[in-house]
Amino acid sequence: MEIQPNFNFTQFDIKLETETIGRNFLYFNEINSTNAVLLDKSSKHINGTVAFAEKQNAGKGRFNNSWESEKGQNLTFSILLNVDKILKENLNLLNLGTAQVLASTLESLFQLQVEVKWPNDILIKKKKAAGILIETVSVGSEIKKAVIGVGLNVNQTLFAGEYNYPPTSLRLELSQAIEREKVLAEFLNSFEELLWKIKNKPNSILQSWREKCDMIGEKICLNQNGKLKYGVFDDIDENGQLQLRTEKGIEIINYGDVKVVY
Amino acid sequence: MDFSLIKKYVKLFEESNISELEIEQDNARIKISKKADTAVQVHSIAAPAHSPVAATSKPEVPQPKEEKNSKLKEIKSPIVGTFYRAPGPDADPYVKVGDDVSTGTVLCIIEAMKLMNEIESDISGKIVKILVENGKPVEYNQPLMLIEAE
Repeated sequence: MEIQPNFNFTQFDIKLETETIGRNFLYFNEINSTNAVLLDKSSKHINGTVAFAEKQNAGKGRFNNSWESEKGQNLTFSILLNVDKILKENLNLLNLGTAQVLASTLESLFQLQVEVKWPNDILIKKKKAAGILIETVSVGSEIKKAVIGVGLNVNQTLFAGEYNYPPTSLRLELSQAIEREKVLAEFLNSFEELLWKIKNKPNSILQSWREKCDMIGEKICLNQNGKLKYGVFDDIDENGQLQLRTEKGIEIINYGDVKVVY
Repeated sequence: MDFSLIKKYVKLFEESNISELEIEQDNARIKISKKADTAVQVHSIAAPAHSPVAATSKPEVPQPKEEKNSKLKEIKSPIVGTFYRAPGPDADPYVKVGDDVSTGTVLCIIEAMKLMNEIESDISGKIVKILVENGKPVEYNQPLMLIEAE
């Protein structure tokens, strides 16, 4: 199949079945960061707006980490949500749920085995195919908006440079070019369902996440800003936090990078 | 709820590392919390009228001084997470004690599982106190900073 150099809106629109998510769609050829566009204080985008970029010049990961992506090959986009009371109390479900929904979308579209890595990375055959960075803004002590940034490697086949985790893409795993429009539309459809589940079936979300996580029960190394901890990934608690079992007992972890120790 | 029992709870609570405790028994509910410093406050919530309890039980420990200054505003954590004063490990802190801030000034970040929550000031004023050390865990609603309103 011939892949269009630019995003095909008609293809995307035909497959998008949402009510709000992605109905306002901002397309950028090049931009610093799609998260930054939606977080910009001077902008007044509506709930559910999606900002999409063919290339991000300053794609963000956690703190100083960057997200590198070749122009026109992948999906780099962000979703804006106004935070209501229910969402405010369930940001962890939004966080882990987004990863679970992305994993499920890829599995059902491509019959791939897709894994989640705590808290919200996506692995295919132990290589990283996607990352998620959620940024929220509080005014005083009140959370007002959330921006969910997603970077998914679709058609890129060469990854130069250094990565914390070996990268891969859908094309590398499937040995064929992939229609980005379909992947994005299907993901946004499922993402809107996730928002419904957070309000109506919250318990199912973490359970679905667990089923997609192969690291539970494994010996892991946790890197917390350079400080290493070793233990067994026992489970996640009701807030999605990692329960690390060490000689001292169970420690509840809510940040850091995890890797399985072989 | 028995007054002596409340006293016992307060004592146990004072000696513990817990920052907030809520107990419900026989339709009476008490909530004990440590504010800013280590002082203990007891709030009675919805104690029924016939109950000989809490309503009259004054906190045994004086309230923190800051509480009396109505110009002081506490910025509290909206989520459980890790407190960061700077945008990156080697970056300068967003704000320091003595800094003037206005509405919209970024004060700090709370991270919860790769969800980065940026906290902006909702008032104009001066940073009087930063209550949490960089990189330390914080609880929901835990006071992070005190700002003296203009």
